[in-house]
Amino acid sequence: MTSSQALQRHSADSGTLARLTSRLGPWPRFLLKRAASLFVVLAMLLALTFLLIHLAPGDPAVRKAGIDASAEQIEFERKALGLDQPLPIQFIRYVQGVARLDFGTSFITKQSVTEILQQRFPRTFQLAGTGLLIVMTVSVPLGILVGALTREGRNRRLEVAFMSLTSTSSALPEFLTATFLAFIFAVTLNWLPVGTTQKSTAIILPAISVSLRPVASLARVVRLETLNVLAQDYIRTARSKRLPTYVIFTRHLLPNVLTAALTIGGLVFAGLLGGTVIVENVFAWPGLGQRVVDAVFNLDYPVIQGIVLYFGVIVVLINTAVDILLALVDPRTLVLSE
Amino acid sequence: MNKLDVRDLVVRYGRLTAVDGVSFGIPAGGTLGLVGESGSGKSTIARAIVQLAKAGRGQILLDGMDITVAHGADLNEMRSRIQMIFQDPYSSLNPRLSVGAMIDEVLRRHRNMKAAQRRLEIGRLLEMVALDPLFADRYPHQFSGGQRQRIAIARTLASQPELVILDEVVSALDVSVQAAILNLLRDLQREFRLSFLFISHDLSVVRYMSDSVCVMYLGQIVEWKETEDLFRQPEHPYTQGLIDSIPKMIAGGDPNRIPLRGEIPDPHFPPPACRFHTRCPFGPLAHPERNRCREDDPHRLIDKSEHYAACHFPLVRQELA
Amino acid sequence: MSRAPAYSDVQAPIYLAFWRTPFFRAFLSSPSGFLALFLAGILFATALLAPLALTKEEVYQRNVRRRLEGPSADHILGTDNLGRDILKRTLYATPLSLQLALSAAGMAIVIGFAAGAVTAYLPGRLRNVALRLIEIMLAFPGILIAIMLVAVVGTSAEGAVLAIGIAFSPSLARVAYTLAAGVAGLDYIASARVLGLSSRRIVARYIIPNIAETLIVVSLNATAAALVAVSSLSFLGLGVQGTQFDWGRLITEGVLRLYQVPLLALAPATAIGITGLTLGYLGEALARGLNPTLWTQTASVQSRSWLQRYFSSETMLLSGSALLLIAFYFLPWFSPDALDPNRTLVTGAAILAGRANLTETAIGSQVALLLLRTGAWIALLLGFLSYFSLRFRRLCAYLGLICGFGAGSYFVSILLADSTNLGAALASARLGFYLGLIATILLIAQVFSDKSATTRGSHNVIHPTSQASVVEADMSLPRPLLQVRGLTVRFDLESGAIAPVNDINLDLAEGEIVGVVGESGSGKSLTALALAQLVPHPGIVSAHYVRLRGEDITRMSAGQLRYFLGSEMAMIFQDPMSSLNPALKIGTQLTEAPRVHRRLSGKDLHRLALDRMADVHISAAERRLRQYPHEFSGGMRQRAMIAMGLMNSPSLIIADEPTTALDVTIQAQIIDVLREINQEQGTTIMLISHDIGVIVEICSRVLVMYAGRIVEDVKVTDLLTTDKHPYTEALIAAVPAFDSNRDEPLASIPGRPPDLDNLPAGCAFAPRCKYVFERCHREAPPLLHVEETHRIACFLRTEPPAEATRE
Repeated sequence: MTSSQALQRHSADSGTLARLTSRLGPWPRFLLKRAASLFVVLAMLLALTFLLIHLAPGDPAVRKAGIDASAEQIEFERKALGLDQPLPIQFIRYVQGVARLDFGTSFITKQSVTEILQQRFPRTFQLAGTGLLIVMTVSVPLGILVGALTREGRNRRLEVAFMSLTSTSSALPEFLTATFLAFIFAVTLNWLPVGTTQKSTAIILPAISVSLRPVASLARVVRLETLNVLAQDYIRTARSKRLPTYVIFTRHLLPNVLTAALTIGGLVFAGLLGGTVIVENVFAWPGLGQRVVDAVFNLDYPVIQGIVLYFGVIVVLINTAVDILLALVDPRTLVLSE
Repeated sequence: MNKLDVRDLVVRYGRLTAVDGVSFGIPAGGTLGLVGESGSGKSTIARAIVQLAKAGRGQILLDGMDITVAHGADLNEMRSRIQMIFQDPYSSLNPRLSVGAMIDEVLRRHRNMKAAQRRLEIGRLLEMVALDPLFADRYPHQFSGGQRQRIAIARTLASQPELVILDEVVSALDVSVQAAILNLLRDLQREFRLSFLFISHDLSVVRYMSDSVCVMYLGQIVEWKETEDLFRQPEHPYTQGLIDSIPKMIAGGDPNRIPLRGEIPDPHFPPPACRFHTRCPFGPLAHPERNRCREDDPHRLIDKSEHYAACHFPLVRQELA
Repeated sequence: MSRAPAYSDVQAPIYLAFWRTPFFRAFLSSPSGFLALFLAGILFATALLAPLALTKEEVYQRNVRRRLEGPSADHILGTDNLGRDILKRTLYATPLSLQLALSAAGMAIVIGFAAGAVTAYLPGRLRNVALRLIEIMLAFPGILIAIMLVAVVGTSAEGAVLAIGIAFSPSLARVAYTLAAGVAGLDYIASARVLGLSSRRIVARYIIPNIAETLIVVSLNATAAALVAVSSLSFLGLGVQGTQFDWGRLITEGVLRLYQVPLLALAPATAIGITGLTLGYLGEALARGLNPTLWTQTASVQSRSWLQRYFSSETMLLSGSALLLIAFYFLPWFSPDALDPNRTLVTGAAILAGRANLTETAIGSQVALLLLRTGAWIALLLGFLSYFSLRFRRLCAYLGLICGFGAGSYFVSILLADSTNLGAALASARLGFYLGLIATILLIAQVFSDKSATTRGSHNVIHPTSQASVVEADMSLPRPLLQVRGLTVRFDLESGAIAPVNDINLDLAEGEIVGVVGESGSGKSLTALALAQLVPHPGIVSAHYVRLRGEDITRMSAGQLRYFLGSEMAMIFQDPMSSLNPALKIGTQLTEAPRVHRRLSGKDLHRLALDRMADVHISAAERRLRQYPHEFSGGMRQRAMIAMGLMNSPSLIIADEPTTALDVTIQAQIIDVLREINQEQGTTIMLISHDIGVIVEICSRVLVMYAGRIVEDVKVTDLLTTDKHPYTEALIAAVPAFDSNRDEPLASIPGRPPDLDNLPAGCAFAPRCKYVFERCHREAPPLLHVEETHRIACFLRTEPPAEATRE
């Protein structure tokens, strides 16, 4: 799924919007449409996280008051949570709370969820950001290099090697990679620290573990895209103009490959966030992922709600940013969105 | 009576009107040629006749019966009598079926035959298109372009059609192969008294195959004539332009030709009135007094049940000289 | 000639043994099929037999006295923190792990495929909404969705399956939708509809077989991913609960004691890895088996024995890298106390010298470990090098094997050492060492005898060949611009070498427009590409010489060549849309060549671009230069391509089918532009086309090509009058002319163009020629002059046989 296709589809399902905005230029129109879709997705996300607490088995009030609490205590907690109100009212309250950045308090630690997010998110962001940096800086050059070396069926062996290596590494679960890396570099060789966030080098192992799978899968995509672009007629045209190789690669190949890399870059980032949940638990990295697992164990609903919503918003924002970036890089995207 | 009559056919894809009020007829055993540049709506007409595209308005009459309103068993029976052969012999054959199985599918559907009979019939059909009957066990990827087109023809014949729509059937083939396929089609037409709707962008091939020819421009038929008349004395300036554009095997090119300027406009926004007036070398561009072309649609005034040219100022040869 | 058997006479065998069906043969045609079967068999057998062969006591019984032991004869992989056998527990977990993965994947597949297929058949607006929904879910981290769902349905094995099943379905829905929507638009589906086949039949025989390949691969990948995801949930403690355990849970236990007994985590981890690998191989092999284009493989592949096929370099590399990977992971864990390299080295050397104390236990294992470790690290290094050099490929593979031997002998020696048979332990360790040594020697010998790396030519240059056989005086043009002698393009394929362009001599005079005509496969386009040095891999171009403006480009250095060709030669291609870079402005693409070759910039460059745009009659050039290709119409793009070619004022333009992708009216306009450029700027044009009409229209001379050779070289004015090559004659006759008689059949050429890998011995056209005589089958006719300006390669015209007398 390329983003341009997504854009095309957007324009189709927002007919009235298109009419309303038809007098604007392509950029304002594009941004307006993006904003509208952003709004819809966020609303859905809110509804989904809100429903979580109601779909779950058991009474949240009981969970909050404790198992041995009296009936009055439970009733009190129910009131405090607003569970005695009709659903729509509850939802409105929930949305109001979110708007004030108030996600409630943890059932277990009685800490405010906002505080948990503030405390923990920087760690997750640090990990995911470093991971993304590794993914982009490793997989794009690697994919282009291997693509260039294996074009038109050259270097079959390199191709086989690359394919088997990437497919094996993309099949390795994060927790395995994390464990192995910890054993080799932290325990056996004692080169890098684990289980701490004090040293700046502590992030290396978690970041590598979280990025290995995305690196492999993105490198494969970039290689395929490179092969695809190299087989295009316009590359032949560029070669017929006798341009130096670096010009062909930087001017004719790179922008087209980057478009593809960016398009799935959003999805890669989502996968990366998922990976952090697991890797944080291996390395005792005090981020949101570690906290959300604790919360699920304890059925600490406000914390689950808050963290899932937070992750969701980040994913949506990143995807929107990618779409805008794509429109900047590739002039066709704007036209296609018409 | 004509085998096929199309009356005032309109086909829309969303906001695009691909075919706009087209009428023509094909006599039994005859061939109608359909020419025009890409985007003129030729293929859409074909797809509407075989019901791959939905007719927005108008009638498609097979032996006087309207296909667009038929349904159930009637429709199935009528569909089996109209067949179509596609342009690209590489993509119109299912790569996962052997040639025999492919033809067998059609025989099972349309002909009440036992397995052994079908086997014989497959061999016979392949021989009819000058292929070795043993090819029945092979798969499409083992054949060349011309051979595949022969397979497609054999498969079509299996349903014993009366009208066959040939959509650019030779444009993907080399000239030497093209000639053999055209000869084969004409032989088969004579043998089974088939009616052909022959669609092509290549005027010389259309001239060779057709009894009468329709010229299309932006979803409309601008001229419909007997083949000899059309090529000897075109009335519509667009027809003249098309004929002039074809290389004539004259070294250095035909000095008398009048080239067409510009390109076909966006079919989403066709020019008003006469759609050709923006490119016409005899229209308001060259003769400012011919304002009528900009204001009045020539299609409104014509009786489309027989041959016509939709032009306010039809060409007469003398005028050119 | 005997009667050809009719189709109905030949009865295809009704029953083919399974292993002889084309499906299975294609399935096994590559090592991955073999590996898939082998591994899947092992997995399946383990899943079935483990619960039967192992009693509950064996798996659950605690034995605190023997907790956290290393490998021994009693416990091959050691014991866990409660003294239970690691291997047995890992094997015992197989059925549950597979069952969970398969049910989660099954659920995702059913939900996903159904949702995707339904979406594809929804009406427009609803479909867009559904698609948008799928996309949103797709953008969300799957594991997070699963965790949230687990919170809803509760932490249990069933909960994990449900959560993964739902979390994975959007991506499968997306695939199913894309496939269903893509297939529905294909010509063969349309033709099946027109043929009146029922929907059920179309789905069963047309749609499913064509998407099955992808669906199977995707499903198997999803299963592998589900296995990982379920294990991840178990690892987090959100999956399998209570006394039950799957691989994921075993790993959780293992991770806690990673430093004491690494195998505790490693064994289940390896099981997951092997399962993933199996599913991957299985998908690949099944996809191959279902593809009928592989059912009829080329003779060359079939003729190789299975031994050759399986032990080809690819297999070596595959097994090598698999072993490497295993070695990489296993390496540090075997025996933590043996990690001290000095100690290992010393004892190892002592044992090999036969001077060690044999009572020392597990000495054999020490030596084997040493071999294993050094071998594996070297192999790892070479493995990376092998990606860049052919030479290290086998080295890497063999060292992988050494590791295998080492590992094997290590295990054996441990087992034997424990049963106090030290002699045997030592023997097995030695065996491992010597086998490794032999392999290394073999390998080094082979690496240095491997010359295949150096004999390959590079395709990017024209290789000059000996000029001894060049016929200089053969052609004499007044002012030659381009002189080509002995141009050959060769492709060395597995099935043998072919030469689609074979020993071509041609001259172009300054200011000429020369046409090259021929059918597909005649080599006309490849000739053009060869002159421009753009022949695709693995084609090899050679020539006695190629002189452009008197300079031989086969003997130029790369730098000279770039400058010379960049300014003297330009090319125009068939499809102007795909030949222009969609991401760059027309202006950028126009100006980059002069910027590089003539170092122009700024105003001069801009003025030049405007001039060239004017030459090809593009109005509003200033604005047009700032536009992107997609804002141009088809004819306009081809004009822009021509303008781009003119930027450096080249002396030669090679136009490869420049009008084929365009409508006739546009074709006429482009022809006019080309003619005008030739007349006004004196640029020589080589026009390649399959359409002889176009060539007659614009060219002064035409070269006719057939099967890689020029068969005729004639002035266009003579083309319709004089005696021609029979092929040229037939080619012209096959085009329906405007004044032809419509009642007569068209003259067609019987037969079809020859296969380049199976050319007839004499004249390539002989099997299709109506004038053929005996000599034509014997020798190939050379291209000879019949007149000053007319060359023909045909005995009929150059040396007619006695009975065919001249008029």
